[in-house]
Amino acid sequence: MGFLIFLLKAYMVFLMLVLLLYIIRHYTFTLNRALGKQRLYYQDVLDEDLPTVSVLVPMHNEEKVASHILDLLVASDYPKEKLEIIPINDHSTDRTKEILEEYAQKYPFIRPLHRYGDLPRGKQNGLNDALKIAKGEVIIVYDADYLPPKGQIRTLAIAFKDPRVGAVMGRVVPVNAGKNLLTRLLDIERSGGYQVDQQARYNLNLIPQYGGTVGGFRKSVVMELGGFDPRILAEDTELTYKIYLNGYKVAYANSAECYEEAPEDWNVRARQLRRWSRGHNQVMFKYFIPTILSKNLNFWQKIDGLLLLAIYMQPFLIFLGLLDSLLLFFLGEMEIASSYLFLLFMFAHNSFGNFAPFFEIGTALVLDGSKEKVFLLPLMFFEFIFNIIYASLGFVDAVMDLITKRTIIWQKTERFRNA
Amino acid sequence: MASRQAYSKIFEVEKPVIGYARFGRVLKFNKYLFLLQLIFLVVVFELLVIFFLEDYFKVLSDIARRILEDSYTGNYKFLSFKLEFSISPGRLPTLEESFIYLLASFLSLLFLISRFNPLPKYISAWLMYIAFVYFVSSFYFMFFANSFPYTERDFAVLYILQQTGVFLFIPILLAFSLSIFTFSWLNPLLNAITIALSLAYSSVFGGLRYIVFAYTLKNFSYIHMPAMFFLFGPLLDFIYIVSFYSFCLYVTIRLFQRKQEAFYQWGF
Repeated sequence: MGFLIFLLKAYMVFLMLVLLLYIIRHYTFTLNRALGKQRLYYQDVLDEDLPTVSVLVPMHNEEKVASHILDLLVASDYPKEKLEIIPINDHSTDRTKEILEEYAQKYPFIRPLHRYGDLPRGKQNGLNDALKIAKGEVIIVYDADYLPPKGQIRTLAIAFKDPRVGAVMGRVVPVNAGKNLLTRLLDIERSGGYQVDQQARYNLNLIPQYGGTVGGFRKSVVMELGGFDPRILAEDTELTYKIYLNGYKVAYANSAECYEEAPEDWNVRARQLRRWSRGHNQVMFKYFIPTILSKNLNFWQKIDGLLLLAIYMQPFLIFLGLLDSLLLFFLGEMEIASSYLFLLFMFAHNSFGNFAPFFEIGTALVLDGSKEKVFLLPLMFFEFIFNIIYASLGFVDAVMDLITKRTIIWQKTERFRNA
Repeated sequence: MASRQAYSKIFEVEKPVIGYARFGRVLKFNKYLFLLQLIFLVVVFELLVIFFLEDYFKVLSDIARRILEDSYTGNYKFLSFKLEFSISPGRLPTLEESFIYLLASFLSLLFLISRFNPLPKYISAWLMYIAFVYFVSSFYFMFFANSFPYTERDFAVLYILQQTGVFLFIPILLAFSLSIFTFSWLNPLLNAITIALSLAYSSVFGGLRYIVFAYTLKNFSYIHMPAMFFLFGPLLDFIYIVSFYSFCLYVTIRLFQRKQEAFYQWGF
């Protein structure tokens, strides 16, 4: 029994140290973004010799939103002779195919890729097929619910003038933030995640993440690295690590803001979170050791890279911590200072944010000038257990994927916009 | 030369109306004020907490003694502090009570994970957590009630430790979060008020919660004790701490919003 208690206490110490590490990391990011010198993106680079760009838009039953994004891409100010748009129709059973064909007839630079039959479904599979036909030197990816502004392709593509840039990422802003509690909470989370977290990682030369949409990558680099692994759901996180491990970097464009449709329904959000967690943890299993051993990453990049890899494992660790605390309680070990302080730390860190503490989101809101939104911070309490449950389920899914090598089936996020 | 002067003039005229775009702005920062208020807020409020700790628990003990029937008074020595408490004898749940809670929590869990559950997932998640804690607790008391390692005195001591932790943690958490804002000398004042209000709220809330918990243990048994620490403990404290943080942030932005120059600058 004594050994069991020792193990339980040791786990709590381990958990506390892990969470403390994340708190320090986020506090550093907050200070850096709020007060430090910001790293310039490439928006001031003016060059007539723009790279050729292929915009890929993965779509599965996107009749509600397909025309919105295509209209905006058509209106883009990027030279049309250097632009092609490839909507990837991935086994759609609604009117997506017809809508894409209508646009293709009207605009010669829109070249849809229809995927049916035996071709495996999923964003990563669609991207791999599209890469085979894409002519652009640079690939920009948008999810179908995104609403890119006129000059954004240029803003994103210009970063590739720097030969060290392997991928670029813009800022995501929910268009339906005011819809309900969930969209409001996701809106402020995004604010913390991009305005502070991503920009600070970019400033500090750590690992800003390519997010799979409102971003792009250099085609030659991705082709050289073997495209996307069809067994990994988080193709964006995987690409981030592939790029860094091979000596390239990800540029973050905080000025490249693009509207997205945030999930309006908690069931949809639960599925999305579980999928993200599953995919992210798959990447963790694959890249944890290579990150440690990499010769292309410096010490701090390795630390940040490892913490970023483990971020979706945190909820599962906290879940185990809660079970551990309950066990310690019934074993009469509640009095040890650890029990109450650990809980305090755990909740301080995670209660009020997805994976960002309240002070990081609060600072992001001040930087954004969103004064009323600060009152939403205490309401993030509602997400605490929800996040733990669905992110933990995603972690379990990833472990099962690793053990059973089962086939991965992509779950699409439901859209809420009216067609 | 003339055109250069004209250009400068235009630039000077137009410069003040160029807004600090949100992608590239940072907050005005005074590192001396940052360090000063961080140290000041932590040291002063930690000293205040330490200074009033014994008195707080003495007052709480007096109030509890008057409200709780059959209560007795005890002391707990925490470092060099002698912290007083009053508590009524609690009781173990009967087998029937444990069974009812076990059944209720089990059925609740089944319902919450079933497809017939119409509740939003974030509410369901919390209810599942509550049901789970009660399931574990009732299961324990069904089979191991006599081995329960705590008495009401132990509960009082654990509560004192938890509440002391909250008191000590509030100034640190809020000082580190709020000292980032160094727009003027008003910030330390505003931040100090926020910490003071949080501590005041915590002392009232913590006191009330103690009395409700003690009453519950006496009248509704120890089966609720895990919930007191894992559901209604530090987790609830963070809601009001973050609420005060939000309020302080709102007032800060309102105070300085008239002039963007007062709190933004380019970060490049």
